[in-house]
Amino acid sequence: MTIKRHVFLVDDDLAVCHALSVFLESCGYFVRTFPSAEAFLAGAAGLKDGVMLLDQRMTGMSGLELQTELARRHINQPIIFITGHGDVRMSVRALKAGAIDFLEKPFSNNDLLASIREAFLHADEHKKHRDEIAEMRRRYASLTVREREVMRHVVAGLSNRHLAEQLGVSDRTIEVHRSRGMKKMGADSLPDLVRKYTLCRESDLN
Amino acid sequence: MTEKDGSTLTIAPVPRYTLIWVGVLIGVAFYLSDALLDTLLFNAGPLTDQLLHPTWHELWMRLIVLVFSTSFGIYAFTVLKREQATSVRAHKAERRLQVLFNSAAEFIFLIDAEGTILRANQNVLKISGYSEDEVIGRNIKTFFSTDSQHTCDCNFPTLREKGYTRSEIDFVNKDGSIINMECSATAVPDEHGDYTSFLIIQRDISERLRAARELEESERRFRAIFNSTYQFIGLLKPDGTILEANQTALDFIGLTNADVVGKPFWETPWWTHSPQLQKRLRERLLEAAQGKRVRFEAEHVGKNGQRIDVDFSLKPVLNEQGEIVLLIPEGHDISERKHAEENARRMQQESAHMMRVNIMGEMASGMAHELNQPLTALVSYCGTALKMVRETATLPEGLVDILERASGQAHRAGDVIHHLREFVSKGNNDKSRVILDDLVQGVIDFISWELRNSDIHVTFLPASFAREVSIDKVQVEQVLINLIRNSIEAISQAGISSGRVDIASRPTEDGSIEVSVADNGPGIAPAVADSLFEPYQTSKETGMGMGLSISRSIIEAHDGKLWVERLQPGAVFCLSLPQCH
Repeated sequence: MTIKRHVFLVDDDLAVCHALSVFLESCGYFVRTFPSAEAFLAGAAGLKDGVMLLDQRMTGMSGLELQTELARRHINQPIIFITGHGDVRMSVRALKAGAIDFLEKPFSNNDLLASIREAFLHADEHKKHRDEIAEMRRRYASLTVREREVMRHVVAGLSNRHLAEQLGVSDRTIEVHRSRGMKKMGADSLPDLVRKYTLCRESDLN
Repeated sequence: MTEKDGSTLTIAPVPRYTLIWVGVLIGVAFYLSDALLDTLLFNAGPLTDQLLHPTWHELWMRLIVLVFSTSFGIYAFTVLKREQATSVRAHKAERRLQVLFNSAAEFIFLIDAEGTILRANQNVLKISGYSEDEVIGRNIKTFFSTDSQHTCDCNFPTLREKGYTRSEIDFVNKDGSIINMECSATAVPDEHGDYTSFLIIQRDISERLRAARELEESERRFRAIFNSTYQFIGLLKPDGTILEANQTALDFIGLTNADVVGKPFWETPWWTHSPQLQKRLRERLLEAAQGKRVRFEAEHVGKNGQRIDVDFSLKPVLNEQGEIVLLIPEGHDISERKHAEENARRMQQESAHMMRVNIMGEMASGMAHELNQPLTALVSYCGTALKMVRETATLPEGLVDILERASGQAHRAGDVIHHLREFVSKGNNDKSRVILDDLVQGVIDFISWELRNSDIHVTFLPASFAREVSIDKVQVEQVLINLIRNSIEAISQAGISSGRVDIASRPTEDGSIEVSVADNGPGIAPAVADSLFEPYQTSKETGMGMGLSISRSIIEAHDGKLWVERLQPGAVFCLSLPQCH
């Protein structure tokens, strides 16, 4: 771990903030604490990627409300809730809204560490996924119009011959377009092509 | 006065002083005739001489005849005068009788042995509308209705034999209207003592009959009200003896009037189920007999064992002299009202209880949060410290152990708060499927924690084989805690050493699960057994008396039952809850 990972801790209790900061810093994280949800939102714009530790019950905006507000602003930091009185309904709501974990106070340092690691893994995976989509879109953009058409039909399951008949060209021509398209998309098999193609289209739709 | 031939009875004119004058005239006539005879036959001189100058002899003779005839006249006058007086008296009596006969308000007939009317009074003609000719000589029966003619036929032999009968007949007037009459017939004996004629006196009793009918109707109506009302009503003598009870009251206990009339009121099945109630009734009866209106609430037990609450009252009835002659007991079924009141009260109490629980939950939740914050910090500090010391080469001896223990205690504090908060939190009121044995075990764990410093042991014998019930977990837990705490408090108060509370569960035949809580405390006094589940009943020095009442409500709300299985020695309470399918 060469670069220090960021942990953003939002809790209105100074002792909790300090104790967790001490621990997490000792584990090699860079910790920033915020005494309220409002304070976090005020400084949210300039923050790097990291994991959020969010107290559910705070004066002012609650943890769940902050989660909703962040989603509205398309700030997709992984969130771990830490709460003094979690009930099932609340935790289900938080997890459904994308929270990584829901820790009940008091929790052990190990539990917290495990959750944070999971959150970073999640964040990494998410980042990888996003990068892949970006890559695919870049590759897709490099296809010619004819190649895109061929790709569309290939993915839809048409055989080369059918495709040739439909487009009114020779089998050989289709073969060339197809292999060039697959190379450009970085796909080494038909299933891989389908996955990558779908990834692009989905992200387009979204 | 009318006779058969129609002639009127009259009395001959009476000569008054005429007889005296006749006597005097006879004397004078004799005097004159003697003088005339002497002159004419014996030529004894001129008539004037004979008249004016009679011989002494002739004068004496003539005077004697004069005196004699005058005396006879006076005598005859006296005799006739007396006869006349007698006759006048008889006449007056006859007239009086006639007036009486005619002015009587009754119909009076004189009939012969065949029933033919010989005489009838004026009232008959006046009221019936028949003329005298239409009445006299006709058979009396022809004026009667068919039924009454039959009555008449039946009575005639008796009349002839005994000389007197009495019956009720319908007399038909000329215009067809009918008069209800009481008819008394008396035989009139002739000089030989035979009954040849009969006196019939008929009195109009229409009014009396109408009054009687009205009274009967009124009686019938009142009886209908008396018997068909939903109230229990009766009549008592002032000493409490039953004279009558209405149908509603009798139906309730499944008896008839014959079963209760004449008995003391308090010894009837309305009261015999409770000696206390009987005593109360007797006391109140005495008050009522003094003229006081009394009223109290009582419970009656019906023939099928159904219990109803009644608003009972006793009202004295006075006669004109102001003496109490009757008592009217009245019972009005107020079960429904009482039940509603009871429910309202219970709900109020329960909501108060739930409010307290909610407040407790809120407080605990707030406290948990407040305590959790420093605990979280504490746990984290300990963890960090442990991590740091582990990375250090040289350690003071026991430091790791101390830090581990500190961390452990902080975690334990967290668990206690967690448990407390979960326990008091009302949660959502929805029922959920719960394994009853698990729930009981949870409660026992909680209680055992309280009892860790006492010598009271709580045991649990789970035997319902993980069967589930659909319940509001918090509420049923509350009931179990309540029962177990009652046992513990009873044991502690009685100072019993090595107290035991034995809890067991078992499935029952009717598809329920039964949980029993038995203790070796002093048990329950039979006197309070009845009111055990009523609110504000407590044997504890600091109790509210709500526990069992609320507990029963909660269990009943779950379609279950809560009851006392054993009063002594050592109480056993049982609850049953329907099992989930």
